[in-house]
Amino acid sequence: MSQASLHQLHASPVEAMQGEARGGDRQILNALNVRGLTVSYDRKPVLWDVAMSVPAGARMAIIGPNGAGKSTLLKAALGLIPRLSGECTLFGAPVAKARDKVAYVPQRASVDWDFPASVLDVTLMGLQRQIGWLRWPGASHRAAARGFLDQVGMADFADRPIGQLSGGQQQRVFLARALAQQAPLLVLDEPFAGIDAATEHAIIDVLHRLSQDGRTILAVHHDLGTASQYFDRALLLSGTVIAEGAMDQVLTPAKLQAAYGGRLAASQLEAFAAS
Amino acid sequence: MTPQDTLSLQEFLQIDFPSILLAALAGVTCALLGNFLILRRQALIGDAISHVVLPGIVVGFLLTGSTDSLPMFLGALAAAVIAVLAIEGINRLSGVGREAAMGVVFTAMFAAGVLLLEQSGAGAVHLDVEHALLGNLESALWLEADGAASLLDPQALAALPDAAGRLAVVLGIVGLFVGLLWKELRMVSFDPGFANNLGVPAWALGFGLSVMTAIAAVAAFEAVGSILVIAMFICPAATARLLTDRLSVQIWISVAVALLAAVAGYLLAAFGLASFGLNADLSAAGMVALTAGLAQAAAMIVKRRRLGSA
Repeated sequence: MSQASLHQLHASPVEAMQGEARGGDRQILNALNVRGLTVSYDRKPVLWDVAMSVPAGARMAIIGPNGAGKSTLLKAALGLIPRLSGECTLFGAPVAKARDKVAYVPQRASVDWDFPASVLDVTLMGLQRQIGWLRWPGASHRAAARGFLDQVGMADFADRPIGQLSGGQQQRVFLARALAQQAPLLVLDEPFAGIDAATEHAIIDVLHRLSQDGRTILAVHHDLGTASQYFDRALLLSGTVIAEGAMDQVLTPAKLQAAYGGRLAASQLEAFAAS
Repeated sequence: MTPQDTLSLQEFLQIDFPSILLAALAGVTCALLGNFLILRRQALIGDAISHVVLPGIVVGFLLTGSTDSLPMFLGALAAAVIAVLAIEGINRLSGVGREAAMGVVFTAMFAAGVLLLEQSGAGAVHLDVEHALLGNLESALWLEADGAASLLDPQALAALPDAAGRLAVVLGIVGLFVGLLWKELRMVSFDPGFANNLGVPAWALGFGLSVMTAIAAVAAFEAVGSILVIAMFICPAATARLLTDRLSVQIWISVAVALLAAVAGYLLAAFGLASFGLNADLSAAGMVALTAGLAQAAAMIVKRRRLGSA
């Protein structure tokens, strides 16, 4: 990697974003903008006319019961699964033309971890753009990948086969791979599912640092108890959008009741009413 | 060198060398692709392709009226590529899954081939089932060879069986495909969603892999038969997978296992039992496939011992 491209790698994503904002004609620059999104599996609608705005710099959670279509919303918004209708833009540009602006952390369980690759190999996947097609990673790419592993506390595991990792370690490697993409928007699908407390704290630390750096974070989140602690905005989803906005305006007992129905215990609703 | 030794080297080059060369070329070509096929749970695509080539061979014969290997080869290749397209298309449109799509396509096309063979009168042409299954390794000859110098003599090399030349070209193409796209193939095999988001098209690379597999399978069938092709797509790569957790190392081990199976399997078939004074006519392709299977069994034992002692 040349000195110049190394510099680009570390250039603040916010600067890149602002450059674009001046050229664009939108008043508010959204990192991700979704309008009229409808998705169905086998003619069964999963998402119906969903609109979502993720303001640049926000830490936003997508919250909702099982089967609400949270992961589907992420994948459809990023164009990874077909949609029946809807328009999605990343920083004002069509998603297909702005792939370099979003890093995606899929669900940990979506891949087979019994795969012949080391922790470093997987992290290097995030540097695909820097390395380029048909090229093999060089020493500078390896060094950069080790740096991203260090940010998630996995530097000592770089040469470990991924089949030997715990769930929490797998999640950290996925995060390191996404960090390597250096994208202004980070999209995470259930990053806290089935991991240890130490990993949860490590991930939260990284997300806070990214947020202070001006990056936008969008995550599917399950735990209503920690949602307002980790995120500042929320979209409450149950096939359709129940509510969207600042966390305290979304997590109200009435709106949660509308999203979860009887699935949320009365005591949990009272706790929210009291807080 | 005594005249006796020279004669036996010449004999080896004329009779045994071309067979070993064909088995090795076919084995390495299939093993390279097999590494990605087993990781993508598509190992049996070789089996499917061995069935779908039948209608292609029959149509190739009907169109040209010739039993030369080239029209048959092109017909088989066209059928294999059509099958790969049909499998992907059915999988995407109906969502029944790749395995079911494979089952539908290969049985339907094989049946169509049988009907075509019966109806067209092409059935009168000798169609040797044993040949198709076990190949014709032993019949490969290199009569122009008269010593070690022939290995460097272009004129003598040109007299090697046609299949060897075709396989060498296909090995070159497959080697380039895997060598250049190794990183991308690994990414789409491990995490297609992540790859798609990066702009590395998982579908296109998977399709490219299937087309390469079809080309390799068809080129190898005519030389070594379908049993050996199916074995070489699976056994070397599966053996290597048991012995390492690094894909680059796995690919090299699979190539070594394929070469070992080709050489050891052929020598066992040609000389193994004879050296015990038994006069048995063993199929070389069968023995090579069996050797590859034994290599995998040995790797499983090694792996279990390693796990046990850990």
